[in-house]
Amino acid sequence: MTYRYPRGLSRRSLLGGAAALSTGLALPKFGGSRAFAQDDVTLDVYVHANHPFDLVKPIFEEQYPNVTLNMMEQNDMAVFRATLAANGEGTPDILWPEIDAVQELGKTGILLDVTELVESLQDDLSPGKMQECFIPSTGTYAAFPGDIATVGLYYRADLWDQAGIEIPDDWTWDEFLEAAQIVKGETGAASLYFPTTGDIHTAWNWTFVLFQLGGAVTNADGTEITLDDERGIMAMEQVKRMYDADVAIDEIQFEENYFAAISAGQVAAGPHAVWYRGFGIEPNAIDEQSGFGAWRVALLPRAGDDSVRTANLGGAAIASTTYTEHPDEVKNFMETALGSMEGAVACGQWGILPPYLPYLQSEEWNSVRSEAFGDFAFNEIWTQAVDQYVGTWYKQPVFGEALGEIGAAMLPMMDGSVDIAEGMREVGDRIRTLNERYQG
Amino acid sequence: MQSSTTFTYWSDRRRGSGIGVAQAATTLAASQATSPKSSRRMKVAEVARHWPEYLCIAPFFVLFAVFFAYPIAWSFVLSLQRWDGVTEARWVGLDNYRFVLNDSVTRQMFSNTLLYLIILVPLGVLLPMMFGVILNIPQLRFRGAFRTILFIPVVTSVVVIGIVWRLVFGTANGWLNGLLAHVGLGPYNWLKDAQLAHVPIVSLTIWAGLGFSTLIVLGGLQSIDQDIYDAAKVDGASGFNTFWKITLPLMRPIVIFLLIASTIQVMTMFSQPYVVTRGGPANQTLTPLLHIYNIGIGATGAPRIGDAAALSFILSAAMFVVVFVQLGLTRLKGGE
Repeated sequence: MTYRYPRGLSRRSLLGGAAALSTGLALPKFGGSRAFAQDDVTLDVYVHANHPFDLVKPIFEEQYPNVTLNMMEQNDMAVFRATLAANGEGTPDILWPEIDAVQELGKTGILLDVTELVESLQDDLSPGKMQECFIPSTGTYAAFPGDIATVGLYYRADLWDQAGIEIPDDWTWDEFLEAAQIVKGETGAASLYFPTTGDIHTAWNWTFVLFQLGGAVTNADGTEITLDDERGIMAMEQVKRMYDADVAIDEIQFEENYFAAISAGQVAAGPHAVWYRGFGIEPNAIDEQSGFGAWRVALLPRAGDDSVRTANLGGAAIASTTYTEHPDEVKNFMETALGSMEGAVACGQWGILPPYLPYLQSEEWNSVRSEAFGDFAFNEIWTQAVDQYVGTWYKQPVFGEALGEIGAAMLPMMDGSVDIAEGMREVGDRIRTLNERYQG
Repeated sequence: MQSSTTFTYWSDRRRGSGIGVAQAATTLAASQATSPKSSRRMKVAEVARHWPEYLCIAPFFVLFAVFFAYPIAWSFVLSLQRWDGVTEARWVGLDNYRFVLNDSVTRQMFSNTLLYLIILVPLGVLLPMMFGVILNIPQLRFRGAFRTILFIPVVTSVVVIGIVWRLVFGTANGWLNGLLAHVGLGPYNWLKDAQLAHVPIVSLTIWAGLGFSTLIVLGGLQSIDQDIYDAAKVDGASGFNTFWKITLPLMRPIVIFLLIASTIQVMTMFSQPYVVTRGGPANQTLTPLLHIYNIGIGATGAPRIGDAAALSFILSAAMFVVVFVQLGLTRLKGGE
């Protein structure tokens, strides 16, 4: 028996159909999109939903009527990296990366060089934040300074009053711990968070103290690991005193159990970043029990004689890539968003701390209020923090993994089963091995 | 002479194996042709003659090649390179394998997996068997309702339940600690204590997987011929003997399937530690897939794609070894 292929679907017709289909699919590639791009420009903006740039968008589009911002509500660096791996296919024009990503990608030369723009505005920008966007190996700025994620001490004035303690203008961490013990005794509420998860979240307190002491995880270009130097050890010794004081809640500040503790009135204080007001305090401080209207901010306690009174947690920047077809429009956006008064006001209203110094001296900035904080002028504190924000907090590609390793190694140091100097040396050696893998 | 005998043997064998006369003739003709060029031409002609059939089976091979074979091959290439996804990849030979095998985190992660295998694989077989047998009792009231309840976790997102689990096992305001406080126990640090952190992971895995495994067991139980049970009843077999001597032996293929499936499930566990503990405390609940994700995607820093790829192949090799050992042991037990 001979098999016959069904009539009407001969090889010829099959090939013909395939050719017609491919032509149809290929035609739009040569169609109007190019012509459209000449007049009107659309910039794809990789930012998460409810981002400060949502408030900048109408301002920018009014200034530049031919440019439309496409807010993609997408800020996944893994997706972004996939577009880079695909030679720029789908790479956004504007993104909002963390500083360690800026440093990592900046070294590769894939980020748009914005040196000229940053230098033209340098008198108006925070030097500490500018440093974060500077790539030592290339001598260029690979991103425009974004939010300055300074850290301060959030506290509940009602609980500290109840304990009979007034926060002084200047004090040390050890003095703070003594006071926190009294607050805990009087109110039962914690004044620190110290998650014993043995991961990056365990290490935050250490990073704050290290920042205050002028130390860092690496040197400026990430070629050397410095976390186990004298300052790193001093910072860990301070953190052990925090642990031993037993005034901390064992929860992660970004998670629902910590939020529940704020709501339940179990948190009297905590070192948090500037953006934590909108992230953790305002959504959870909603009644008397959770301290509605009683929250305040102070500079961090001092970590040593010469220490600064702030630290860092997070803080992204505005970047673009060499794949963008509209570098001028991208730079215009950067300047509008965080290098001008109008953009800075919009971002400041959202809750971040813009790097634009004239705004940080302005009435618009100082007059921002929040119901959870009553009539307290918290932004005046953040301006003082910006003044002390040092440019020696280097966040290189190994930064995140290093903090995870430190967090894992901290617990034996806290319970005294491992000597701090020895423990830090061990973790330092491990990070040195890991860091070699980030050196190309 | 020797080759002629061999040829006759294979020709006969092919005919005898039911391959069509036409194809045998083609093979014969092909074998007689001495030139490799003409042999190749014959093969091309053969393919051309049967092109509709080849076209019908082509989608599978195309999809397999594009989505399975190529990614696996490329991953292997990546495992021999150092690459961050942006700059030029650099050949490093077996350095990635050497590094991850000597890495203390890798040792910790495999040690965690071993612990989960020891706890979860026996439970992954015993619990579905137990629930399957109970739900198969015809006299059981509300059988349908129980089956539905047991199956609900299968259609529920592990990620969503993982978030609920975090609330249940929270320390200061956790629901479980709240309950235990009523009887004067706790509070326990479920998510941060090195030993206790396994409890939410193990319980979530069992909760999420039990329904599907029980369904498999139920299917197996219901495929056993009722006549065998009737005959055993006539012979006066007790309930225990019936289960031990009839049900269990006949369920052996199902048990082996569950054994292998739960082993693979445990070795590729990701969502539970990712959502509930993030692999902590101090990597005590870190699983291979979570670690591969963390370093490959750059969840904690810049991506180390080569290390992640090397670790993936090491994990695959480990899985092959474990499953083959299991298969060997079950065959030995089965007397094969």
